[in-house]
Amino acid sequence: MNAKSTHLDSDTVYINSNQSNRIAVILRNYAVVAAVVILFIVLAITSPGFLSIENILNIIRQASIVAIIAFAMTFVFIAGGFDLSVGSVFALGGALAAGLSHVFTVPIAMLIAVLAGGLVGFINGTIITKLGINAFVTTLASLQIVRGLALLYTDAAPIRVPDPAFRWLGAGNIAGVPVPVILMITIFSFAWFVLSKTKYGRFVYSTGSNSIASKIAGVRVDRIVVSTYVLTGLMAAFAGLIFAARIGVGAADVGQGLELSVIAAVLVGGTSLAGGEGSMWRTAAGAVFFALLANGFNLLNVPSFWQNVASGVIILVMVAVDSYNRKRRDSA
Amino acid sequence: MVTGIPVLAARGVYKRFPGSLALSDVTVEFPVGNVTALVGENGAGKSTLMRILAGLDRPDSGIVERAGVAVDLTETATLNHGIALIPQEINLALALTATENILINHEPNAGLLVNSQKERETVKTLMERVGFSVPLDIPTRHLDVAQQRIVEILRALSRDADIIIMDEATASLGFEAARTLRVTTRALVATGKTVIYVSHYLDEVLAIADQIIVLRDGQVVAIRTPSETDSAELTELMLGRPLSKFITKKKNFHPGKQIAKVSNLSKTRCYSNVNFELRCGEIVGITGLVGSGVSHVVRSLAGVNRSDSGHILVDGIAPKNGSLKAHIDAGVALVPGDRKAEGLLLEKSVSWNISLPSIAMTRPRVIINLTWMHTTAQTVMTRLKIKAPHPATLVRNLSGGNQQKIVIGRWLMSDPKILILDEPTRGIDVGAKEEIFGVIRTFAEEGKVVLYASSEFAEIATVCDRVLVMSHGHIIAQLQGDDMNEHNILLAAYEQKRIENADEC
Repeated sequence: MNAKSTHLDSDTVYINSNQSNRIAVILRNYAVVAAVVILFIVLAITSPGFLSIENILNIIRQASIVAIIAFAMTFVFIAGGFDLSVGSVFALGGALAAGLSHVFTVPIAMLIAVLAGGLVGFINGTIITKLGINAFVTTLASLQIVRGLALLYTDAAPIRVPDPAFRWLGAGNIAGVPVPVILMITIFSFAWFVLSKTKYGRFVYSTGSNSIASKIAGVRVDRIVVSTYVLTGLMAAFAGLIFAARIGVGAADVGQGLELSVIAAVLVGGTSLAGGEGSMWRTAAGAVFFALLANGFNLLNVPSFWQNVASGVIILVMVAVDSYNRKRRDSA
Repeated sequence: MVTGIPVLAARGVYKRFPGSLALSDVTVEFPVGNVTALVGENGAGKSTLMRILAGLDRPDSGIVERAGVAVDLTETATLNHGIALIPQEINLALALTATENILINHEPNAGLLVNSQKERETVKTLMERVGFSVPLDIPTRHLDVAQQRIVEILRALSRDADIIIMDEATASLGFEAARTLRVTTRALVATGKTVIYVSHYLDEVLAIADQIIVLRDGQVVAIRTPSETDSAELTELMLGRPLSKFITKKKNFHPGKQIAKVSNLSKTRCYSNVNFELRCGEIVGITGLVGSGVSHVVRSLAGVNRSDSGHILVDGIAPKNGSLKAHIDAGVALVPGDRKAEGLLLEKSVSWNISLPSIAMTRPRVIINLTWMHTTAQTVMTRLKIKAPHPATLVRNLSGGNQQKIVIGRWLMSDPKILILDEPTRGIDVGAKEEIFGVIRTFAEEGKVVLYASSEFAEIATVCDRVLVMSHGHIIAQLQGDDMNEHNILLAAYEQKRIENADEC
């Protein structure tokens, strides 16, 4: 590059990001990585059982359920939305798959369960875009409705999963690696690719960045928004199915409060509630972070109540950084 | 002439803003029990004067007198002096009733509890005293705009205001509503109140005012009574010249074939029976005063808002009513009036913003090609002289002019048939303006149509090949050639053609 092409016009109005601003951006981008690394080192030093391969795989396996849903939730957040219904859809997915596996073949039962989750997402998204009802309210309502439907379907009794092929999805291993971990990594790769490399991903970012401007530029923003809720529906049901496979029963009362763990993972990953910004790998780091935290508290025999306190504080700090960032930028 | 001490007066007032002298040695008197109208072009100084009289701005020098005594008006002191401003935008708590809005913050009984019965009676007494009424017990959102205005006036009166300043009170009102408000205003002065009436509508001013003060370039150029003047004279006084200095002759212009046709387009409360056609290669202006319906027509044409009836035909295709995407696919592109709210992704890069419409239009490609994106952005940046350090620079960090060039330039790549620009020069400096005019002309020379919506008459006269002038939801004039000058556009736009049932937007 020669000197001329790097020369900036003198009348160009361009505000260089100043030092503290840059620090804030770095903090948002890498804070979750730093947190994971620090926590990892602390646990490696303080607790002897931590560094075993078994324990590490266990941590990742524990992270996988939240992570799989959080990957979809990242799309919803970036498009400027919010989904509280995933915990209930998670239960419905597991229960439906378990129940239907007694009626149909396992693949068909699973397909129907996952599609049912997608349908819930489609309805959520359609209500939000077409009726203009706030995403929080809409998904709070569907959280209740879907939980109720799951209870109705199971009659509040757990449904056994007898099929070994079904069980393998949650409890099996490939070359010593738990199947849920492999599924999580596969879904992550796909979600990362779609978000950062495809037109669809770009439309998701654009919609969250400025919905009306994107619409005027020709993006079908309503479809984009609906599709993100379909994604969380599909993934929540799928994760529910993996969970049912692991514990051997499909039950309607599982996953209560799971939506909050998912949202926490996305938020700690620095994806903004305001939309337009966020990344897949940071969500993955966020999910791993909370799994590490739980594992560490366990190994160190700290009462799990402290884990709640710590999670809450960490969420606040991350969101505070984001909002500080925003304020600085807006006043600039 | 009016005798006695004026209830309010400004004497030798100067007000300077960075880069301009807004008011220069302004002396005006407002006699008690009169309606005094302030008229003038945009930037003539009438809003500054109004703000000073309402205590929102302070004069650099000169004094304001209240009943002959010099006063120092501040926002809070104004009410104590019995002066109330009714702003252009309705300023009510729409979920509350008229009673609650009128008595807000000074409920009749002290203490924590409210006494609804007593409040109603207080308001009723007030309404009887001044002789007009509004429904008291329903949320004010269910009142029409004229009634909402009356609630605002009643609120001012309930605080013992003697002088009421109304800013463009009828700008968004239809025929009936505007008449109601005029009657109300006359009733007000009949009870001894004084009204200062800022308005764009000359016929209205002539009908309602006792005296008319004309401002131009920050100075009082004339004081007239309605009986000694007419709208033609007022227009000349406002402009300060019989004809525009901006006239540029279009060199033998030959429009091409018809590319779009709008027939009988109507939308309740916004516009009705709009008909026009667009031909290849022309720049068509569309203009009018605030509330004339221009932006509604433009937004329906672009597919942002639905129309109620009528047809839009673009190159033989009728895009689905109210579907932005369908209009874009048919070749209609919009550069919206509010570029930050509706035009740009401020937190995204220049190349992201420029390439978005192209990416949205090229169907088969799934994966984003970053190299192509940057090349595209570079091409547009060079062609439109967009000054940004790099295609990856965030749009937020660019100047208004460069931002606007991006909103226009991004459509260069997707090749629309019709480019609609809504107030494209708002908040842009002169240099960038001229460059944008150049870009628009290039666009038209490539055989496309440009529909140029603007409230800047001088600009329209300079840029456009012909202009459609709207008033109260109707196209009331079409001007071209030598007839298309600032003066004629202004005259046409001010023409009162209030239509019954063409209610507020």
